[in-house]
Amino acid sequence: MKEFEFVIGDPLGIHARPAGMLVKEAQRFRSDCTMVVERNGKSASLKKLLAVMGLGAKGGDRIKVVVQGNDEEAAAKAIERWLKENMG
Amino acid sequence: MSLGAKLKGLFGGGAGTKSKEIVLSSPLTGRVIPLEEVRDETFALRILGDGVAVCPLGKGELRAPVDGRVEQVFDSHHALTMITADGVELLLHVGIDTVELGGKHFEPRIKEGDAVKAGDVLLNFDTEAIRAAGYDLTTPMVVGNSDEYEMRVIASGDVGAGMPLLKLIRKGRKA
Repeated sequence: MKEFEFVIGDPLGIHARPAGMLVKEAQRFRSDCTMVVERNGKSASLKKLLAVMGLGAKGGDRIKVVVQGNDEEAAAKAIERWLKENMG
Repeated sequence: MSLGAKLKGLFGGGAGTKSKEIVLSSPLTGRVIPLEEVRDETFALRILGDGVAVCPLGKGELRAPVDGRVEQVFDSHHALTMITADGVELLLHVGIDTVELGGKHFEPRIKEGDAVKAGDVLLNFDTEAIRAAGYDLTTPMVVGNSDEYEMRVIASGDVGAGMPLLKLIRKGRKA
């Protein structure tokens, strides 16, 4: 299992466009990818669009991503990179 | 009668079965825009799912394209998601980049968890004010779980709110 934390810098948070891109990124991998938002305790699979949008992750929120599966190492790395480049 | 049972009745499905064909009606009166022509590549490249867009010509009134439940209303009130009894996950997104308005000029008429009927008003928005602020009001309607359906846009040119717009055909499974 791989996990990491990240603080969303983008003030608009994870709205429709970033959610779609993030889900696409997670879907490239076989591992289960879960995101938890610390502020509201909500969690969702990063592979499900409506669920990710439903997390309501806003700018300033601390999130935790947990990845589990065969390709967890690569998946966690790719998701973390995506977040840093797009939501930092 | 539960909502689920009512919806099943309407869709003609029996217990435990899901409709093979679902028709979504236009959420707005306006011009039909193929998704690939939407000026936001997240929609144009179908990253958020397949579907169609409508650019409003009349008043700013977004209506439910199908019976279902409101899953989420975005904090910025420009977009919402719905799920139908058949499991269609729908995203309705009024305008391009309108998240930046932070809710200004949008007024939701429903709240999360509400059961809605096709044609119910979901939100009102001030088309003049939003256009004056420099935003494109093209409104994509996309299916989040698109890989479960084949889709056909069944209207072109101008369409009235409530008119058939998008047909979803569930991909074949063993009977």
